[in-house]
Amino acid sequence: MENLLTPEAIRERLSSLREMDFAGAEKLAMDIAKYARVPLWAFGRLLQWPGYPDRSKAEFVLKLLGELSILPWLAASTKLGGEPRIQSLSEAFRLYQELDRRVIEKLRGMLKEQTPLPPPDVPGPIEVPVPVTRECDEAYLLLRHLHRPDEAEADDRRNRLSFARLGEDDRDRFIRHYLDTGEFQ
Amino acid sequence: MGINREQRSTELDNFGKGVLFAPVLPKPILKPLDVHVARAAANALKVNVVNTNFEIRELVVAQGLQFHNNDMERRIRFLAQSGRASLAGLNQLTIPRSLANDFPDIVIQDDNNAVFISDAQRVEFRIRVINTKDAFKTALETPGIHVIYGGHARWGRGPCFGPELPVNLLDKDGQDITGDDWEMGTDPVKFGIFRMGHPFVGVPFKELDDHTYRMRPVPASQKVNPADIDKSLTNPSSLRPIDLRGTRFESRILDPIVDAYFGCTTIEGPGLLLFADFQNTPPLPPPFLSPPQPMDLGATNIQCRCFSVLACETFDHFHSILRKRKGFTRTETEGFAYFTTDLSDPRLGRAYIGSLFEFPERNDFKSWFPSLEFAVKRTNQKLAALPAKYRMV
Repeated sequence: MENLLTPEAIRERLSSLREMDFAGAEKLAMDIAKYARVPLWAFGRLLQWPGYPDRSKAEFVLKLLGELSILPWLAASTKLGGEPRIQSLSEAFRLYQELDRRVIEKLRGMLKEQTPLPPPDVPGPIEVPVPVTRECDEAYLLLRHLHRPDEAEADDRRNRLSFARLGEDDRDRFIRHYLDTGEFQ
Repeated sequence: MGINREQRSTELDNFGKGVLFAPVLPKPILKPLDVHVARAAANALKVNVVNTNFEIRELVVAQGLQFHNNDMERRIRFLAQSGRASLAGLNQLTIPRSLANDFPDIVIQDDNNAVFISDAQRVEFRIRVINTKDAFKTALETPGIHVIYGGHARWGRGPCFGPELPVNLLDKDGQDITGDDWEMGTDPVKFGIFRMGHPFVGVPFKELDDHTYRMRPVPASQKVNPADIDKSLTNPSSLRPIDLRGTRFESRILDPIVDAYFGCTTIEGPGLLLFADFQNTPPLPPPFLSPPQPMDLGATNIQCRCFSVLACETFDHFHSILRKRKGFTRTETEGFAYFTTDLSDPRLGRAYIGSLFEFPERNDFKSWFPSLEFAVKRTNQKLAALPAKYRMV
């Protein structure tokens, strides 16, 4: 398949995007997704066909793709039933968990990083100062969110803000508690 | 689907001539005309009405103090002189002009008025920018419109209005941000805070120093229920009496001074507890002139169809006040309100209004709910892409 989006083409399109040009950004994202997802989409379609003669070969190739095959497995599950459906969903979940484990590993490694993160570049006057956080704070908040997937988004945001507004000592105490017990306060 | 009138005529002719086969009747058309109709009752002194017009939807954008179009443009120019901002940021935040970047078909009538027609929605959006407290109150009391406030939340006290900021080259943003317009208003009818907050709000000393306005701190003799304190920025259990006599704040206290006031701890250090109640704003002591009726939420008969509060953390500051204490409730077609979850910024106005325009389905003379929910979801997608941490809810 001809790849029309070379790195140069992407750079060119990015530089021509105006500030806050959502429509332009969306168009570029759609084009990228189109080229990047066509082969994966094709695999998803093939797996949806229970009698496909080369199914085992397709599954073999997908396994080599690792986390890139989450979407094809999910897509396949929508049209399958019974055991094949369970199989495709289990495969998607296994790969997702593996990805999750890698993210958690990285985040736990960041819990000792004290580097302050630069405050966001807000284009306008603000009255209430944006809390300055460190790498470890953001890692802690992400870990907490990963461990509580059921928490409502609004509650998570409120918790993030109140945590970020705590003093450094208090934030360190929360992080230490997690490292010692594996639990979030 | 159109009716084949000739075929129908032939069928009827044949039927009339005694042909035995039944004519094939055309399928009923569910909606023969793409218009709305109102049929009058029999014998009523009214006529049947066919409406071919688009719905006109008025968006009133209230720009608060420091958020006027000119304020934002002047600030960018000033910061650009020292390389702290880019001139590319000009015309990106103003309403309505910045909307022309995303919607070339919008008709900008002047700096404060524009019209955008959505053929997909069959809705004509009329945008009007206001920037005074009385105009804001009038807008909230106008039935059937969408009021959008963009500005400061004043630590939870409410929308705040003022004239364009004078230039102050010594300020970091090149603007003079001092004076009573940051609280009671130099002209309490037009400017100052439109109170819609909790009865008591903690404000850090730093904020009082930055803006140097006159204020009404809460005397320590006042009974303060913790539930009446805005908790999003103030620790309600941190109240302690403090003496303001002989301090830099003494001359700024509006009421006769008392021995002790409530100090408190805010997210930006120590501060003062101020009166901020959304209702029963007391008249100002002489020699200040007070408006004939309080310019607050309590004295406002909210009739607008939707009220969107685009300032910092407006959900925590104002949601319970507006919905529970004021009783602005939602029905299927009225009483919509939207807020922000976190510290926000001026990009939100353009993103949100643009999202209102982008709803892709016909929506004229129907409940606004689907289009508003779409706009909030779409705005949140844009905020995620910017990136910004806050969301609309």
